[in-house]
Parts: sequence; structure tokens; C-alpha cells
Amino acid sequence: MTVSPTRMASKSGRGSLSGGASRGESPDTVLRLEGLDKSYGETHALVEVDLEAVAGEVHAIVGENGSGKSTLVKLIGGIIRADRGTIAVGGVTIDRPTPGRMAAAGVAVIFQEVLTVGSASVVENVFLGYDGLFRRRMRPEAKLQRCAELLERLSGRPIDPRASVETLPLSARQWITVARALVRRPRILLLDESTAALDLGDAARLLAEVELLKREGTCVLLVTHRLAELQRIADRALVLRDGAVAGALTKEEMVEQRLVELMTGKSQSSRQTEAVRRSQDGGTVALRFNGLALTPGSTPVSKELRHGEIVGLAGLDGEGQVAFLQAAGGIAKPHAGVVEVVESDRARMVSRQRDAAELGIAYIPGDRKAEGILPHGSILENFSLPNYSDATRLGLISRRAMRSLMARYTAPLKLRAGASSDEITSLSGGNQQKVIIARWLAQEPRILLLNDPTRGVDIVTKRDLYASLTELADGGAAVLFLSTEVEELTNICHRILVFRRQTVYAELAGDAKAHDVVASMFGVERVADIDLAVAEAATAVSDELKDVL
Amino acid sequence: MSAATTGLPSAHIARRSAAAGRLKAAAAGQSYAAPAAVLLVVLLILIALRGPSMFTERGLTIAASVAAPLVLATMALTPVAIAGRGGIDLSIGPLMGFVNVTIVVWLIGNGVRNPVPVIAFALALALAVGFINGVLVAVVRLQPIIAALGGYLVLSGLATYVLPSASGSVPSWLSGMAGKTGSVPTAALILLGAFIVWTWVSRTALFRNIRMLGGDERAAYASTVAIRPAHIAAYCIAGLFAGLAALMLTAVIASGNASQGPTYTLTSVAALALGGVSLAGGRGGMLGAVLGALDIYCLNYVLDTFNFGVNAANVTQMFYGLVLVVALAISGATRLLLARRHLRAGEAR
Repeated sequence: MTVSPTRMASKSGRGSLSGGASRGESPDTVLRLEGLDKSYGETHALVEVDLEAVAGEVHAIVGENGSGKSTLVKLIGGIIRADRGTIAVGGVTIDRPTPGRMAAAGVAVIFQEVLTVGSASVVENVFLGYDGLFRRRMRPEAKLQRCAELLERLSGRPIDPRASVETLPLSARQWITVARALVRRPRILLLDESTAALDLGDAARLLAEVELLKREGTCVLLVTHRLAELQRIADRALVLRDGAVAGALTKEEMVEQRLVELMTGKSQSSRQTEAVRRSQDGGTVALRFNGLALTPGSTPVSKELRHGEIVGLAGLDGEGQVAFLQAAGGIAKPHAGVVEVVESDRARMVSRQRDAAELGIAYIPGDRKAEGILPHGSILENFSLPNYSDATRLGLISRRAMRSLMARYTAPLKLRAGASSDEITSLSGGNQQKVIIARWLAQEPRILLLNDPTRGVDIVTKRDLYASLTELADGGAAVLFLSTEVEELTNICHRILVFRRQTVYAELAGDAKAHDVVASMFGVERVADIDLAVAEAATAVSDELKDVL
Repeated sequence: MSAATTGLPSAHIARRSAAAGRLKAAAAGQSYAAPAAVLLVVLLILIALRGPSMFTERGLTIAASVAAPLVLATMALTPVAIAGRGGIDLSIGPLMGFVNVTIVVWLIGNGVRNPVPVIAFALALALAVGFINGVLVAVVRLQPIIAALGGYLVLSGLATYVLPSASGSVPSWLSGMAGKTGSVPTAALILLGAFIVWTWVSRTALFRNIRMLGGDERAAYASTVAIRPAHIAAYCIAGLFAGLAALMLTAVIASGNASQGPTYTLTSVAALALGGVSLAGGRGGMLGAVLGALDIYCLNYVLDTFNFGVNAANVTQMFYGLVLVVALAISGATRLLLARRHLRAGEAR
């Protein structure tokens, strides 16, 4: 385990100051935002936001996609400047904030986007910006050692500090950004959806680190969509809606219903019911996996996916679920075995991405920055990419037809956007994701593959997406749904395949309990058999489930 | 430790001794230059077969002197390319020409023949032009290619204005830079000096900042790297090497000639690309630039041993293009294959 109890206890002196929900002047106030206001053209992204955070607390910032969270994060990080309002750190107002000035004041931000320099080494990335322009602040050998220690402690496995970052998986790159913030020993640490790219075990480890920092007196600001996380470690929460503060909650007030009410501004008496699972005996086989070995030596997988069925894929990071999904989409070749689309008793093999598209398979990528969006294109162009042929008049593209096509598929997802000719990057991350999802739904796929589509998407949007998926399945589509959030899978899936060691370790019914899924992800019978950090996370999951169900 | 944590992929990276690790890292850090190195060996073998007179004391002196301006010009391109934003400083060639004519006309033409003021003037002038370019890119935020193109046109025009047709002479110490010191080509010593200076520069925090900036400017900015000063510094380093290149050019042609500098523009860009320096930024280094420039020089030398007569210039240019494309295609394909294998190995873990 990363956090030893003795270390926690020895630093608990300032911990007693935390957890206080007092709003008044506090000598421990380390960050004060007053009247922060920011507009992008027509969009009023932040409206007069105030926030006060004290040393030794975990202060959450929550809100729907597009509520202004990312803008607030960028303001605190000095990436952008407010039109009005002030930011004070430790009682000192920061004049014309830049990343450098904010860092000098003791603020470190771990951005949602995993910002690393791919062509550089791990140690260079961890100490990126640490040195001055001309002067080194630490000897190279000391850097290597500190980098190796820190990353091993954080990620739980050794990461070669000299390795090139582009060879590392997303989770390792995420750890690098965490380490980069920690080597500066910040007074204020801001985590923007930092657990989104991490699996359950890694996320638990990061949260344990956050608690350790809190006990040491660091003020931690946490932006998250994961309710379980929020309830587990946040002392207070600031809820944003449409760029303004909708409310501030104490730890006791952080229950889902209250949060959703504040985030949406609607009373939850009319709350949508959870997606309803229906029995799926009647569906015919849509996709067949025949002796699929994901890597040399892994146990081959033979499974069937039926029309009208939503099958969840779960597993710790890198246990084979992504490779399985990509094999289904013809994106990555498995080591052995075949994937076949079954059409009226005729089976056709999926071996290339082009076959997959022709056979009615749509693959919705998880990393929208890398695989999904054209950053300089408009919202409409981003939606239209594979759909041009569906909206032509005499062979020419009809913008009007395209717009109505987009409206039809984005409406169920409740896209929050300005004009369809605006650049896609003018949208918040979650809304960008909705455009990408709508793009593929417009293809009317018969088989839909989703690679963690709700990463960084708020609760309300998630529900809209679940409803769309359920509707698609009811219409006869077959859905493979990979998610890093277990509760998501137990909410809507008919079956859940749990991956471990590059093969299907367990197949669970859709109504399985989340902690059973978690247990099999770790290859044990019961959650209690998992070690401490992981057990904590798993308990938090089941608590949330009690809350939801 | 319970079963769950040990079940994570652990200890797949063997710990190595610090020295071996550093050596391996250094070698891995220079692997981008491998294609250029292989090509150089091939070309040197070809030269040994077809024009072995290069490997005499006199031949080496001429080779080092003639290659030096190109090598230095390519070195000048390197920091700006590494700093990213697609920075290809096309104005390096004309800058060499401008410095060449100004030292011949303004200084030597007015009786200033002492090495100290001449060298100081050449370096200071080129540094100043580099600084202006840097400000245009980093502060005014012109696209680097626009700043470079503007610089190319303005500097070529100015150079021709200062000295409309080739003329003038240079003091013996300057033309002597194309000769020998003892039995060693002076140009080789100058290149060695430039390379040592570069090695020092490349180990500074400043250069690391420039490289990170070129790798991902947003990541660097968000991580508090001072973007503007780093960019300007890259252009200043470029200016200094361009000044040195101009001095070597002046030594070789022993006169003022406004039209000589610009001829280095495209050849040096070709040399840079051949040397594995990414024109997209963040990757590559001076070793690649030097090897790439030597490749171009040797290629030229080999082609000269064939008698293409009136077509020589065209044929040479055509071969530059062919070799560039073929070499980069091969190295790109190799890298892709290696990356795939690496990915597979990663998945297998």
C-alpha cells in the first residue's frame, strides 16, 4: 500500500482543521476567488463566481458538462484570464495570472487533458517547467531518483524514468501529470477529472494520495463526475450551473438527489427512471467471437452478442477489454481467432475497419481528442464526417439536410451548443463527446461498440446516453459497452464480461452487484479479499448503488 | 502485499546500473540520426571507390572548408526547428549572404581588417537578426514560415543593395580559415568548436525548455515553461550559428557575393530533414544536423565524380530530392515496424 498509517498519523496535526464547513473568514483560507467572470464571445462561461478554500480540505467543484468547471480550472491555473474578478492565494491577489505566476504562488493544476510531451522522456515530463529558463533547480541524478520513487509510489508499479512518454499507456501518462504537480509541493492542488483515465485500483491510489496531502495541510480542489469519489473524500462541494454558483454543499448534503437538483435546477420528483432492462431471449446472434486469443498464450474467447442486447466489458486497465472491443471493430487484429458478423445465417468476417463499417458496426472511441474530433472543424462538420452520403441532393451536400440530420440525432442526447457552424472546440468536453456519439448513431448501426464513452461526462448526460442506448437495443441493435465505471455497467447491461489476463475471466448477469464485478476484476471471490485501497473504492461503489437503487 | 497488488504487471522493467542506463539512454537519444549515419558510411565508401583524392591532406582540407558553411547553416536551422510551430528558418541562407557582403563592404572595404572586430560584427549582426526573427514569432506571433519568408526576401534584397555584383577581397587570416592549422584543416577545428559549443548548449536547462516547447507547446505552457523567452532564445542561437556560417562562407569564397548565401537555403533544409530533425518540432539534435549536412556534401562529391556535364546542377538537385525522400521513407517505415513490434510486446505483457 502506498499510504502507511503511521505516516498519516504523524501528519494529522493540521487535519483537525479540515472538514469545517464554515463560510466566514478563516485564517487558513489559501484560495479566494471573488466575482470571477468570463465570456467567450456570446457565451457567458462564468458568472460572478466566488469560492473560498482552506488549507487541509478537499473542496469539490461539480456541475454538468458546460457548466463552467473547465473555465474555472483554467482561470485558477492561469491558462486564461478572467474578464472581471480577482484570484488571491494566501491573501495575496495575483496580478495578471499566468501559469508561471500561479505556480509561483503555490498552485499546481492537473488538467483533465493529459498534457505530456510525447517526444520527451518520463523524467523530462515530470520536471517540465520545474527548472528556470536558464537554471537547473535540481541535479539530473536527483531528478531521476525522485521521479522513479514518486511514480512507483503513485502508480504501484515501476516506470522507467528514461522511457519515452509516447511508448507509455494513457494511465502512465496520467500518473506523470500527477507527479509533475506533486514535485512542486503545492499549497493548492487542483485535480480536474484526474481519475477519469485511471482504472478503479489506480483511482483508489490517487484518492489515497489526495487524503495524505490533505492531512499534510494541502488545499485540494477536485473536479469530478464520480459521485462515489465525491462522497468519499470531499469535505465541501461547490455546484456550478450555467456558469454561476448554484449552491455549496457540506459533506452531509452530498447525496445524489441534492446534487442533481442543484446541477440541473430541476426538482427530481420528475426524475427519469433508470434505464429498464428487458429480458433478451428472443434476439438472434449479431456478432460471434470465435476462439479469439487477444495475445499469444491468452485463453481464447468464444462469445456471442445478440440483437437487442447490451453487453458490458469491464476490467482493470490493460486486461484485454480494449483489445477485445477493437478486434470487434476491426481496428486491432487479435493474435488468433475471428470475429464474424452474422447476417441471416451467413457469417462475414471482420478483419479490417472498412469491413466493420460495411457490416453496420460503429465504433465510438474513448479518447475523443486523439480519435474523435477534428479540432478546427465546425460542430456540423464534425457530426457530418461519415454521414455526408445521407444528406446529399443531386450529389451535392445539402447543409440543410445535414443540419436536420444532426438535430434528429443530437436531440435525444440534449446537446448544449450554439450555432452548428461554431468550432467544435467551443463546446465543453462532454458536449463534444455528444456530437461524436450522435455522429455514429446517425449511421444507424446494427452493432454499436463504445469504448468508455462517458469518460468526463456528467450524470445527466450519462442518463441521456443510457436512454439512447437502451432505445437502440430495443430497436434491435447489439451493443458492446466498455466502461471504467462499474456502476454504469450494472445499470444498463444485460450481461457483463469481466476481463482479466487478456481473456474473459467471468461472465456476470446484468443485475449482478457492482462489488461482485469489482471482485472478479481482481480475480477474487469477494470484495473483502481485495487489499485495502481497492476495498475502500469498492465499498464506496456499493454505497452509491444503495443510494441510486 | 496481497495478491491483488502483486497481480499488477510489476517489475517488468529491470533496474539497471546508473552508468549503463545513462549510456543506453544517450544512444537511444541519438537513434533518430541513425539513417543519416548509415547513409554517410555508404557515401564515404562510394567516395573511396570513385574519388579517393578526398582522403588526402589537401582533399580533406578542401572538403572540410567547402562543407563547413553548409554544416553550420544546417546547425543554425536546428534550434528553430526543434522549438516547433513548423519553424523552418528559410532566412538563414540570405542572412549568411547579408553578413558576407556587409563585412566585405562595410568593414574590410573601410579598412577594418582586424579579426576581432570583424568576427564580433559578423556574430553580433546575425544574432541581432535572429533576435528580431524570434520577437516576430514569439511576441508578434507571426507564423514562423511567414517570418522566415519575409526575412528571406528582405535580407536577399538588402545584400544585393549593399553589393550588387560579386567583388572585394578578404584579409589573409579570413581566407586562411579555409586552409590548414598545422596539418589539420582549420574548418574542421571550427566545426569541432561549434559542435562543442552546441553540446554544451544542448545540456542546458534552456535547451531542454526549447525542446519541450517544440514537443508540445500547450503542455509546456501549462507547466510554466516561459514560452516567449525560450522561443526568442532558439532564434538567437540560430543567429549565432548563422554568423559563424557566414564567416566560413566568406573564407571559402574570399570575396563578397550576395547571391552565394541564398543557395544554402534549400540544401540546408534538405540536410536538416535527412539528419532526422523533425520539422514538426521536439525531435532531433545537432548530431543529426551535422550528419545530414555531411551527407548532402558527400552526395554532391560523389555525383561530381560522374560527368554529367551541363546537366550537373540539375542532376545533383534531383538526387538530393530522391535521396531525401527515399531515406526518410525507409526510416519512417522502420520506425513504424519497430513501434508495432513494441506495441505487440506491450500488449503481450
